[in-house]
Amino acid sequence: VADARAASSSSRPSRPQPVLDAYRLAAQLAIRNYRVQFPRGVILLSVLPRVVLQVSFLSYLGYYANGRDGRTFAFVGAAAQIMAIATVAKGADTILDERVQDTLYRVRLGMLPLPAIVAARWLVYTLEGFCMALTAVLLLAVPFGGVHLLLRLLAAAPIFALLALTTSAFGLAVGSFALTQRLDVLITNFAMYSLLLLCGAVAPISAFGTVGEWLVRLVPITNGLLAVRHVVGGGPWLGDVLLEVVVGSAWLGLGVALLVWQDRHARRTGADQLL
Amino acid sequence: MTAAARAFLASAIVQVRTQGSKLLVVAGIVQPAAFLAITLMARGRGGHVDPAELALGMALVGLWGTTIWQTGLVLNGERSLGTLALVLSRPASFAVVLAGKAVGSTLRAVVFVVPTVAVASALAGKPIPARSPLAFAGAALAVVASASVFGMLLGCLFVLTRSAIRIAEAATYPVFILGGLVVPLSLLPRGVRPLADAVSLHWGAELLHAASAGTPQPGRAWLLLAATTAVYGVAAALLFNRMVDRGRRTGSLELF
Repeated sequence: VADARAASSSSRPSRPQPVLDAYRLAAQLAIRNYRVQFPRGVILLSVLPRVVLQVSFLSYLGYYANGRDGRTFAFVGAAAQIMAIATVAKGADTILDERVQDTLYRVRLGMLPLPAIVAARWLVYTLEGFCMALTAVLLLAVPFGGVHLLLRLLAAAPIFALLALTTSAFGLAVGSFALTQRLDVLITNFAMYSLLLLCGAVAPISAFGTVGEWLVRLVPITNGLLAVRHVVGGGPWLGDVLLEVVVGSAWLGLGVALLVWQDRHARRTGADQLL
Repeated sequence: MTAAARAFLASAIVQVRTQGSKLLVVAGIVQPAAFLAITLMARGRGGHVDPAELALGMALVGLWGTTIWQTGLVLNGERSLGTLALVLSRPASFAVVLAGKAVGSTLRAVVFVVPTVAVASALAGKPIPARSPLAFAGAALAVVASASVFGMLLGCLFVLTRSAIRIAEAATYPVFILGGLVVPLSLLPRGVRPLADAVSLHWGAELLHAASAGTPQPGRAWLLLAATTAVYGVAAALLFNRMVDRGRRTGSLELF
């Protein structure tokens, strides 16, 4: 018995695993998973070309619709919206894959809350989204708007970082909703294209009319993108940044609330996958 | 009806009945509708957007997107279902089966794409005209045939790699831009314009626009549509033989 106790105590960690370490581990594993799914070759031959080509295409749509001004306007919007590929569509897979692989219940039974684990895993996609936007700015700002635009957009890099966070919050809400639906691929893609349509990336939000303009401000990117445009044009940007923070926080709250509700519902009804 | 024709028809019908619709809805409805809407909303004094022409271009954008995400992934779908080797070992030629599936998949995409842009352009106040209906129908059939052949080429390419989805993600936009499907080539840098010549849908778009406007069909566009489609067909056949040969030699047809 003494030997068994000694063996047991020696196999136990010397100190309780702090919660922060667990989150760090979740984030590290997410990075490892990302590197498996997106090795260097895929990033160079697929992710990077898509960033350049998608932003270019949307910029040319702006050019076709409204000349050179439209092209520059659309380029700035497209450079911000491109991050939704990572922060909304890809990020949602961090939670949807758990359902597909039938491991969601294990995460739910763990000691750490599911929303916190999902958030820790999401960070790699938040980072990817920010890098996508930065890449678009670095590679395309000069041909689509000149050196001045490049410098102004680089000055707005912290706002792009904020947009990566707020779109991640939106992605969390979308992913949480999609988790209980069979149409998850459709939902995440629909959300991504809705962002493109509503956030004022290619067409100014004034196209939605007075009421619509205020409604689309409830969508992430919209306010932050206005702030970026103010930085480029030399206008006041702080108010829009604060609005973007508020909107992002609201989407985060919605996403967390959905996950918590689903957790309770799953425990109460035994319908773990909620399909 | 010959055995090959029966196999072709049966494959097309099976493909239409069994293929999933989620990605088709995204590539065939959501994406072209979103692009159409933002371009119409962005119209300003500096642009020269004709909603009907734009809608026609978006139809080709939708067709291209669905060719990549549906027809291009037909063989991957067979493999993931574990039916690729079974189909390959049947008496009917696998090439005929693949051709039937590609045509079925493309026709299915057309059912999604065409109503989307037709309704969207009508809502924009300028429905797509077909001033030369016969020429328009002929050009549309040629475009569908060309997209099917290109889908076969993509299918044979995608089945050779694990990164098919990643390639598909990056492969949509080059044709959107360089094909001149929506944005006129005159707006692109001079250096990249000649690349449009290699895109069959570019010539298809030229034919459709001419038929829509009621102007004479450009013979050069017909010729180059046929030539580019033939090149895609030859490349598809080469890749197809390579895929089958490799699968048989290494026993890796079912392995991913």
